Amino acid sequence: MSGVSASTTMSEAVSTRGTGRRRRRRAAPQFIIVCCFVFIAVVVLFAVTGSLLAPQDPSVQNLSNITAAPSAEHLLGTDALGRDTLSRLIAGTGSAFVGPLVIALGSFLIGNLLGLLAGYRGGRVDSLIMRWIDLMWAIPSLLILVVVAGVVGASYWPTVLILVVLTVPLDARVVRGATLEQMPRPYVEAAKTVGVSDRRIMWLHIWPNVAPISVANTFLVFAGSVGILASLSFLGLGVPPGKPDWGLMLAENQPLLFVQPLACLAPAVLIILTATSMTVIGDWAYERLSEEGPR
Amino acid sequence: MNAAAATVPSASILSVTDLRVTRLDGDDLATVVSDIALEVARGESVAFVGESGSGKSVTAKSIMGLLPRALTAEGRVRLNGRDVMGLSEREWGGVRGREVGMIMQDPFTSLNPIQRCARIIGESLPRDATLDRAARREEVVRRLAEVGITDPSVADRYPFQLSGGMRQRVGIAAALARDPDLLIADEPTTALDVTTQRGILSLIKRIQQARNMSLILITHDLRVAFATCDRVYVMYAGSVVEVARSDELDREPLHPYSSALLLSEPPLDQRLRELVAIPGSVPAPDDVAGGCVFAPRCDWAREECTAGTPALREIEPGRWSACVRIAEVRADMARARDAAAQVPDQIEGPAAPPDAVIRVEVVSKTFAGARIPALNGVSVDVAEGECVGIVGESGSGKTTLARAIIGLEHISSGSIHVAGVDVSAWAKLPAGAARQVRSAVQMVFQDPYSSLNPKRSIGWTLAEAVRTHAPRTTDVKGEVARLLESVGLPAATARKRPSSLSGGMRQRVAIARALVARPRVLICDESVSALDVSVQAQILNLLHRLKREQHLGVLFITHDLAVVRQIADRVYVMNRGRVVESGPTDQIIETPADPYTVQLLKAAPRATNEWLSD
Amino acid sequence: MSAVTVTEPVGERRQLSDRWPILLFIVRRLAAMVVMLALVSFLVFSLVHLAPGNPVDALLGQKPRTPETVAALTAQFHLDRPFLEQYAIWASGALRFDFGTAIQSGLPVMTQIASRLPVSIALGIFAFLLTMIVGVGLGILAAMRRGRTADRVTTASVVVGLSTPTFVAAILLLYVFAVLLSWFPAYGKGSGGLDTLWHLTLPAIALALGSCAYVVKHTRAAMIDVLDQDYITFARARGLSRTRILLTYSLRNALIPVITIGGVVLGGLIVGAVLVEVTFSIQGIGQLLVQSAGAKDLPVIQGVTMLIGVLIISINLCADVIYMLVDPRLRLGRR
Repeated sequence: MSGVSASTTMSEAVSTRGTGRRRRRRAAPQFIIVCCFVFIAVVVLFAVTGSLLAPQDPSVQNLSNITAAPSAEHLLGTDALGRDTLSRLIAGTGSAFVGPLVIALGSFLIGNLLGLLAGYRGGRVDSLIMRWIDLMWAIPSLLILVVVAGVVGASYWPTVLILVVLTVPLDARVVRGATLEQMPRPYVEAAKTVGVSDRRIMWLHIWPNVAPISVANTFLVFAGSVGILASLSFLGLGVPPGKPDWGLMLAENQPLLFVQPLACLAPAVLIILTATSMTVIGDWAYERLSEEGPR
Repeated sequence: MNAAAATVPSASILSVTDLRVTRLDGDDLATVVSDIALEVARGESVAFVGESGSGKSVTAKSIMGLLPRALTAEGRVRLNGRDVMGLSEREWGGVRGREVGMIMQDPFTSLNPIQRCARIIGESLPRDATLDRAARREEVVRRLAEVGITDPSVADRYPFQLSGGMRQRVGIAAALARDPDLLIADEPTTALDVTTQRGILSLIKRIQQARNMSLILITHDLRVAFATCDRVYVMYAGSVVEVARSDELDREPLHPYSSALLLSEPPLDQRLRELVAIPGSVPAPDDVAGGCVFAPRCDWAREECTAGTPALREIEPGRWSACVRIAEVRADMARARDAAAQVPDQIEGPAAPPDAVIRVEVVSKTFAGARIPALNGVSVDVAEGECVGIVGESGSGKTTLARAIIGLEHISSGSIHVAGVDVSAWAKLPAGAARQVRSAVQMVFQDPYSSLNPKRSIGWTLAEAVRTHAPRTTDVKGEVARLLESVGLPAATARKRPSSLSGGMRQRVAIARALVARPRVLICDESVSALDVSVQAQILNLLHRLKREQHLGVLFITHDLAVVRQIADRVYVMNRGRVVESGPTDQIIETPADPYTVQLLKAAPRATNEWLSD
Repeated sequence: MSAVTVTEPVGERRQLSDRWPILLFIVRRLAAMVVMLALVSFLVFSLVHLAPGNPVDALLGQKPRTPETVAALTAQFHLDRPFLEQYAIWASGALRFDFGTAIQSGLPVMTQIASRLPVSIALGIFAFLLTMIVGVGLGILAAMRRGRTADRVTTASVVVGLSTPTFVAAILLLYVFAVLLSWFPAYGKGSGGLDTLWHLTLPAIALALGSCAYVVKHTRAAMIDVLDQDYITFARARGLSRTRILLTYSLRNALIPVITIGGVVLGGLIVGAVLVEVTFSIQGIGQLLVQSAGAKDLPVIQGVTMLIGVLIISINLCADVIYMLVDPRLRLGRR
C-alpha cells in the first residue's frame, strides 16, 4: 500500500509523466494480457453468481473430514472445520471483487470531477482538495481503517465507503496534476480564444488527454483496494468471522500451513493474481488510450 | 585553399564514405540518411545546412559515435586517418574531446544541472595533465576567459544561474577543454536570442581561426553558414544534394533545392513582392528513395530525375551537385532568381487609420513575484487591413501583450479596447460583449504541434469552432471543407488527426480555425518561427493573401526582422517591456533611431563575413 | 531569460540567498508540521467521543459497568469537563508522552509502547535498508539494461510485487522458507542479537517486498529519464570516462527524486509492519495496535496512532529537507 500515497513535492512530476509522446512503454506481451482478461472474466463470473457455481455449500462443516488433502470430492481439500476450500474461494469472490469495484468506480467518478474542477478552476476547490490530500498523506488509509474499526467496530460496507472517501483525494490529485499539465498547452488556450465554453473545454478537450493516466490509475486503485480489504479481513477487522472471504481464509488457515497448506496458499495466490491482472490491464489501457497515431 | 582541401585526402582530418543510418521503428527499418560522403580538411570550416529531417544532425552524431540507441550507422568514418566506426565506448573515450569535440544545441539542457561551472570545465580538462587544485582553478579561469567570460566568479555558479548565452559559452569552454582537432557545433544558437546568436557564432569562428581547428557547423540557416564557414554541404531528406564554397553557393546555387532554400529565406534589406515558397513539406527518405530526393517538389523534375538515385557529380572544380539536369536548368534557375528578387511597385499605405480595431493604451503588467514588469506603458494600435509587426527578443513582453489582448493574461494598469469594447478586465465582460470581441480578434499560436487537440480530428476541431460562432450553420461539413480550402488544404484533411500532419499543415489548420469567427484582426504570435524556412514562406504568403483578399488586419509578433520586413506595414520594436521605437517598417529598418533597434539590426544574420567581425 | 551580454553582472542574488531559501523552507515546513500535528492529535483525541454510545462505555471496554468504574473513568479522563478542556488536558499529557493507562492491561500506555518499540524499530530499519539497497540497485540495473532480459524480468516482478499485499507476501515467504525449507524460524522475535536478526529476516523481507517494487519502479524511471538527457550525451562527447558519467552524472541526478520516495517508503513500511507483526507473531507496536483495536482499548489506540502520525510527518519533513540540500536548483532557487 506504500504505492498509493506519495509525497507532494515530487509525486506530481512522477505520476503525471508520460501523457504525450514522451516515451512509449512496452506493455506486457499479448498473451499475458489475454490471460489477465480471461482470469478477471472468471473472477467476475464467480462474483456475480456467488456460491451458485460452488461444488459444495461453502459453510457446511464436516468435523470428520478436517484438513483433508485434495481429492475428487474436495479439489482443494478442506480447512480446519472440514469446509470445502474451493467452494469457500468461489463464495469469497464477491467480497474480494465487489468492494474494490465500488471503491475504484466511486473514486474514479468523484476524483475525476473534483480533480478536473480543481485543476481547471483553481481557487477554493483546489485548496480544499490539496488540504484533504495533505491529511491523507500524513496518516495512511490502512491505519485509519484499523483505528476506525477499533473504535466503532468493523463491517464490510462502511469500510468500503470509508475507502472511497480516502481514495478520492488520491485520484483527484492525479487528475488535477494531469489537468494542470494540459492547461498551459496551446490547444486549450486556442479553444478559449475561439470562444469554446469552459465546460466543453474541460470535458471534451482536456479530459480525453487526461483519461489515459486517470483510467490507468483507477486500475491501480482497484488492485490496491483488493489488498487493503483483504488486509483488514486478515486482521480480523473486516468481514465477520465465519464468512467466506479470501483475507479471512488466510488468517483462519494460517495455522494449517504445516498441515494442509493449500487452504492458505490458494486464497493468497488468488489475491495476487487478481491484483496483478488488474494492474496489467491498467497498463494496457494506458497504452491504448494514449495512442495519438493517425486514424 | 579550401577547394583544394576536398581533393587532397592527406590533409583531411575527417573523411566519411557511404555513411548510412537507419532507425528501428517497431519491426521496420527506416532510412535516416544514406550515401553520405564528406571530407573536412585541417583548419577548415564546413557547414551542414538543411531543414528539419534532412539528417544533418544525425550525420554529425554518427561521426562521434553518439547516435541514440534506436539508430544504427554503417559505412566508413575516418578521423585523423583512423577508422572510428565500431570503436568500443572505452576506445571512444580517448577520441572524443581530444580529436573531435561537440557543442550541443540547447545550453539549457546540455550542462549537468547539479555541477558548478568550474567542475564541468575542470573534469573535461586533459586527463594526463596532473594539475593541483590551484593550477586547475587557474586553468578553468583561463578557459572561461577564452570564451569571453572575464568574471572568474562564474566558475562557482551552477548552470541554471546563468543566462542562455553564458551557458553556451561555458559549454563551448568545456567542449574545447581537451583541445580537439575538430569541433562539431550542432545548431549552437537555435535556442538563443538573435543578439546572443551573433556573439556565440563570432566566438566560435574566432576560436576556430585562432586555434587553426577544423569546424563542422550544423545549421538550418544558409546565411549563418555563409558567414561562418568556408564550405557548405546542403542536405535534404537524408542525402547531400550540393557541396560548394560559401561564396560560390551564395552567388549561384547549382541544385534546385539549394536555390529554392536561398529564395525562401526572407531578405532583410528589401521587401519582395512575394516570397518563393517550396510547395509541400520535407518527405521521409524512404518515400523518395530510388530517385532524386527533391524531385516531388521540384519545378524542373522530369522522368529522368526519378529513374535512379543521382550521385554527386563535380560540375566545376570543387562544386558538386546531385541534380542530373543541372546543365539544362542552370540558366532557368538564374532567371527564376532574378524574377523572385522583384520589389513591389508600391507598398500599401502605412499610416494608422483612425478606426483601430485594437487599441492598447499605456498598458503595464507585472507578473506575481517578478521584479521587472513584463509590460511597461505599452501603446499599440491595429486597424483592419493593415499588418502591424511587433519585434523583440524573449523577455521583451511581446507575447504577454498578445495574450493580454486576447484575454489570456490580466493587465495591471492601462486599457485595451477591442472593436470598441473595453477588455481591460476580460473576466468581467458580459457574454454578449465577449462574443463580439471574439469575432473581432483571433489568435494563431506559435507551436503548431500543440495548438491542436491531439485527441481530436481536424474536422472535429473546425466544426466545434463553426458551431461556436455560427450555431445556426446547417452544413457544418461543407463549411469545414470551405475553410480548409481557403487555407490551401484538401477537404479530406478533415478526417485526419493532428499527428499525421506536417507542421505547416497544422499551422494552416490553426489559421482556418481562427478565421471561422471572421475576425477583423488576426494575432500571429511567432506563428512561423517553429517552421522550416520553405514552409515559413508558404504561411507568410497565405497571411499576405488573406490580408489582401479579406481585408484582414494582422498583428504579427516575431523576433525576426527579416520576416517583419516582408509582411508588416508598420512595426513596433519592444525591449524589456517597453516599445522603444515604432513607425513604418521601411523607415525603422533603414534608419533606426533607437540604439536597441540598431543592435537588433546588426545582429540579424547576413550572408557575409562582415556580419561576424567587429 | 532576457538577452544578456557577457559583461552583465550575474551575482545579484548570491551571498544571502545562498543560505536563505532553505532556512525559510524549513521554517515553513516546521510550521505546517505543527499545524498538522495539532490536527492529527485533535482527531485522535476525538476518537473517544466518536465511538458509539457515550465515552464511558467506549472506555469501559469489556469491563463490568459499576458506579465505581464509571466514576473512576470519569475522573481519570476528565469526562466531566468541557470537551475542549478535556482535549487540552489530554494534549498536554501527550506532549509528555503520557497517554493514560491501558484498559486491558492496566499498565501506562507509554510503558507498553516502550517495551514493544525496539523490535518494531529494528524490523523497520532492517526492511528500509533492504528496500533501498535492493530497490535502488535493481532500478539502476534495469534502466542500464533497458529492453533486455534483466530489465523485462525486473519490470514484470515490479508489477507482481506492487500488486501483492504485504501479509500475502508474508504468508508465502513463511510457507516457502519456514515450512518447506526450514531455513528461518516461523514465529517470534528471538532472544536478542544475531538471533533476533535471524528471526526478523523473513518478516523484514516480507515487509520490504512491496516497497522495494515501488522503489525499483521509480528509480528505473528516474534513471531512464536521466540517461536520455542532453547533458549525458554532452559528457560522452567530451570523452569523460564511463565510471565518471555513471557516478557524477547519472546516479547523482537520478537519486535526487528517489530521496522523496524514501520518505514515502518509510511511511508505507510503518503501516506494513502492522500486518507483518501479526503474521509472524512479533510483539511489536503494530501487533499492539491490532490487539487494542480488536479489544477497543482506546487509550492504547490513541497513543500508538499519535506515535505513528508523528513518525510519518517527521520522516517526510526530513526527506524534503534532504531533497532541498542535495538539489542546488531547489536550494538556490531557480531563476
